[in-house]
Amino acid sequence: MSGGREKIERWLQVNLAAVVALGATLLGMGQRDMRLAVLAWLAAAASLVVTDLKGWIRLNRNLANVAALVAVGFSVVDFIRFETDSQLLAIANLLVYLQVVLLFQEKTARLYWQILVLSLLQVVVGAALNLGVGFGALLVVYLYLALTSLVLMFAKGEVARHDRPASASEPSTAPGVPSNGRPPAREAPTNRPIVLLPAGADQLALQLLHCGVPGLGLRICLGALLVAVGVFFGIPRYGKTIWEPLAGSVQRMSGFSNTVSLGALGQIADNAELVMRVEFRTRGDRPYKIVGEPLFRGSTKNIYSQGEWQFLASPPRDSRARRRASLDSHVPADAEAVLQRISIEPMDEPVVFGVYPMYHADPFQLDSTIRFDRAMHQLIRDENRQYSGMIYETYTTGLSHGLQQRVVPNPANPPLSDREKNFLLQLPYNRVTLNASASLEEATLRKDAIAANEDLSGLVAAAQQQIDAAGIARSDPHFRIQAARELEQYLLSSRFTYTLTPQPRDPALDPIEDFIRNNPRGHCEYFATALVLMLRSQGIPARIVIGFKGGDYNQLGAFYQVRQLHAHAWVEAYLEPSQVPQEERPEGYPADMPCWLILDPTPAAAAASDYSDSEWLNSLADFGDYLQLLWSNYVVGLNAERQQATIYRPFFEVPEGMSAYSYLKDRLRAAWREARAWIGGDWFSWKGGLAAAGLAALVASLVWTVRTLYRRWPRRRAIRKARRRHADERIEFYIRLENLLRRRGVVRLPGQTPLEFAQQAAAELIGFGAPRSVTTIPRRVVEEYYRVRYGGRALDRAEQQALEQQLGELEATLKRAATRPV
Amino acid sequence: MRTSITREGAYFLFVLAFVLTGALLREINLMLILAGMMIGPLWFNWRIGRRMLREVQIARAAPDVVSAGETVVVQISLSGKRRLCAIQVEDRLTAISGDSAAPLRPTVLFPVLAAGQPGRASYRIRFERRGQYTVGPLQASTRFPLGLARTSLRVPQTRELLVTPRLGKLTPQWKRLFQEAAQTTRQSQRRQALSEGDFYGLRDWRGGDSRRHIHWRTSARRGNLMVRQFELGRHQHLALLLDLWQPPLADDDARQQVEWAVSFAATLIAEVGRGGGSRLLLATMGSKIDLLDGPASAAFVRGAFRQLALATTHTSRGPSELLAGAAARAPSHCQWILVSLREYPKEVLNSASPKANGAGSPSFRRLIHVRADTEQLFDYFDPCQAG
Repeated sequence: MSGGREKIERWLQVNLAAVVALGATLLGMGQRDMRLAVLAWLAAAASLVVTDLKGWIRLNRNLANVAALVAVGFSVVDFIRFETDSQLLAIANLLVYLQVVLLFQEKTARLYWQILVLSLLQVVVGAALNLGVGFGALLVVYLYLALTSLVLMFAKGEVARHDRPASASEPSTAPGVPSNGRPPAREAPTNRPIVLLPAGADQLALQLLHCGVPGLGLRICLGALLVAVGVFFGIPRYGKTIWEPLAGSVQRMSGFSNTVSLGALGQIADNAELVMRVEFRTRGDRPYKIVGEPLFRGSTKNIYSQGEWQFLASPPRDSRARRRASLDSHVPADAEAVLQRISIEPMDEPVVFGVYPMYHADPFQLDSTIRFDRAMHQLIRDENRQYSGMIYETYTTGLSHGLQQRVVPNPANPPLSDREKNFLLQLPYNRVTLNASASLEEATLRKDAIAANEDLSGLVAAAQQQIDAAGIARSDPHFRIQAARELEQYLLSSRFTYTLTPQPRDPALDPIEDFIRNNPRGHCEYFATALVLMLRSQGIPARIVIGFKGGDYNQLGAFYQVRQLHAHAWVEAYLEPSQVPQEERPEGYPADMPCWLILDPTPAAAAASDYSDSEWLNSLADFGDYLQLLWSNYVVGLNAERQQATIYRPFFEVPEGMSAYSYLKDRLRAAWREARAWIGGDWFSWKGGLAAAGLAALVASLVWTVRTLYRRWPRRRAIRKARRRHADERIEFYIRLENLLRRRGVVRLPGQTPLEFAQQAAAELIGFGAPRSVTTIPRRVVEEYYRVRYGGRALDRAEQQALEQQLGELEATLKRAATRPV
Repeated sequence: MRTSITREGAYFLFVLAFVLTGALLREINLMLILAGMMIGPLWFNWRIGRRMLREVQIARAAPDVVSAGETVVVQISLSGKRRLCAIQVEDRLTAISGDSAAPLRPTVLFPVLAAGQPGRASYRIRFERRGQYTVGPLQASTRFPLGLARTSLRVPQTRELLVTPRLGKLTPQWKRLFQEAAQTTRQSQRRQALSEGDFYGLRDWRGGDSRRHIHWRTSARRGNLMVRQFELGRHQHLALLLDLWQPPLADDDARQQVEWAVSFAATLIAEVGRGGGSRLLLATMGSKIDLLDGPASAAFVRGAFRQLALATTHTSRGPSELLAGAAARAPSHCQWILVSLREYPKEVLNSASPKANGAGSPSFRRLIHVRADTEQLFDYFDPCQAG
């Protein structure tokens, strides 16, 4: 093997190794485990060297079968060991093992196909496990490499197919004729075609490569992407849900946890893993800007003991059906409703987040995917959507004029019962036995007992001291709100320091007592716990709220990217209707509706951002995040409703009384307005745009120049070569021969020797019906050429005339052949 | 123009169906994208193939007549308005007569052709069996660029190709035999049928001369009987009878013997026809009896070769049919040569002779009978020279 065939083979081997590595990477991304991908990379690289290039290791069929059986054995063990959901992973691993075995065998056309199919199946499994935009980007690269491999495999196959007949030697005597003339043949003679290739198999391979494998692969890749887009958006979905990956690919919630344990905070500071993306939009679907960092409420806890918070549900007042109810869909007319569109990643927690209070934006979707748990005062996913990523939209009235409201109503729940209020007044000492019939007053009086207990004496004393120092009278109708804010300010004071570093605590004391009394350093849960307990010590029902605060705001897409490190705890204090000042009462709500006062006692130093100082890096990050949002919303999260809303409805559902043309015109106008609004945003700068356009033009011109030079270089070289040849008059007769034959389409191929060319020309001349005296002319001319060119021999006049005569005869024959009808 | 899925394409389609089904059943959007990405290459393979073949022009240059055992170069030329890549052109050679074998499908490949530029490729073929063939139709096809689908275009460009029998070499033994037989024939002519020659002169009457040849006017003038003298023709007329009888259950050997008989006849015709001046008759008895007579010439040789190329075998015709048919058309005083694959009883030859030809007609008694089903043939004929 040499020349063109070798070139194709090597190219294919390298290409396929890249396909193998990339396919395994895509699978690894889906599994969130790159160990097998690394194995595949190593195997691809090693096999390229030791099997394909050097030929040192080539597993024979038996050995390969044994290795494959071992791989199957491994996978069967995994299959049995894994749970049902994860058994797909065992099958995926098997694909990698088998591929590794194939890589170390001598490559045949069938083997190439097997490797490619195994790689494709890995990508299929990866696609079932992955949701990231990075997967999509790599998929495009994979598509290009796979298509290039297919083109190369095709070229290799064509060369092999047409190389075979040429290698068959022509029999010296006709079959069926006895060699000595006497004994009759036993076999009847058969006809047998022998194909004459215009060039050798290597030449054929080189010519096929001239079809432009990389460019061809790229064009088909781009076309395939367009088709993929059409297929993807065109095929109607029938389900309301989107695909949920296997549990193995669900990320573990490290920042947010359904139980709060002081001092045992997860590695939230380091964990930038995405939790959700939140867009705020006006009712007119324009971006809604928020000042400050919004609090995305998750769950609440009501019982505290020895540094731990739990939720203790009160005995059900209603049936189970009522405990999990739908959100109200009637936003008060006077309230400012802001749409929050939340795309949440697959998590191991059923709780979903948002700015409260919430109302249905799409009742159909919420009914089927998320519900409001009245008992726990939180929004949760449906049981069968426990771990899946999902997109949900709700309206909230918790935002007004760009600010998050601090006093929010609780429309989803009826007013708290006394028992529930009692829960929110409990201090640790009597956590075990709680009298269900205890009244609010009784609970309030217990603060004295708390003080006597000395468990939280420092905390209670500090609270009391602050209230007393502020001169807030308990008889004041707004006592609760004033006392709560006073205590919040107390914790926000410089006496307390926010830190994520674990702090030494006195084991003899309750951690929160130690926080208040000895070491006022801690993270948000300490601050929130301290405030809740202080409020309770003052007879104010309060609870701790866990969720996320703020996030990385993406200027480009106008959305928040909430990560694990944005997990946060804060406080909600219960306000009876009479205790809500008129000026703080939420607009649009009845006056007799109780409210919750949101308090965040954690100092502002808690705000953390992973934003870089570099503006362009931030822009780049924003762009990546925006892509991910689009990917999540319109690719991974495209279900029946979203498809209906974003694709079919705008184009196919013409409102009554409107012509299709008018409707289309309106849609286009609206799209243009949207585009202008988008372009007119802060992210865009005309200078930057011009610079980018200039840069793009520069890059395009550079690419064009390089491409043109690359294409023209061989031609120029050939022209120079031809000129040099022409300059040598001694071989003018040979040049004339080439020219004569070229005119009849018989062209000397690159790499073809003059003698090979003469043989090819002879075959062509026979095809033209030229007599034997003419078909031998090319060979005779070439022999003379060899003598002159390489033998250093000059032709005498007679020889020159003879050559001229022969070439004249050849020319005349070719002219006759040209005029003869085929 | 039609498109079909290749074997590789079928594998690809199977994986695509698997991915698409999984994606639709479980509503896995990324798998649906993957399926879309797989549909694209299939579609492009189909589309590129059709675009390339839409306006291609294909032509073939091949001779009309070839000899069995001779290598023929067939040239295919191809051009198109678009750039053509990896176009395969398949020709088709189907035997019309005498051979029920599957058609041959020689193929040539055009790796790359620029738009509008014609390209040529050749295949050569050696026909081992005589007969008439249909060449074509041509079929251009491509699996470019991915090998998943094959688009083909059929060009109904057919022509007939005649493969004449393989030529061998007559042995010196045959030449001797033939010359002796010719000499005998001439002597007989001299004795019996001088009038058949050209007028040469007058001589005195001798005993035994035919009274028909007396030149009465000169005899009267000179006073003694004078007879006209004729010059005998230098050229030997020939009647070649070929009986292609074959037993009902013929094996390969029997079939091969038939071919050698035909080859021998063709070689003989080529040898005699080259000389010119003679009159020739070729009578072949196969499923039908074909007769061709005329002066030796290139045209006669061509006709005889065609007759021999298309000659078929028979299993039931009687020997006298051939003899009777040939005797009616044979030139007088010709040398009879019978090539057969079976025995001809003497009584058949005797009985056929006088009745068939009447007075002055040739007799089959001096006929050269060559049995092609025996090794006698190889005493007279060497088939190794063929090709």
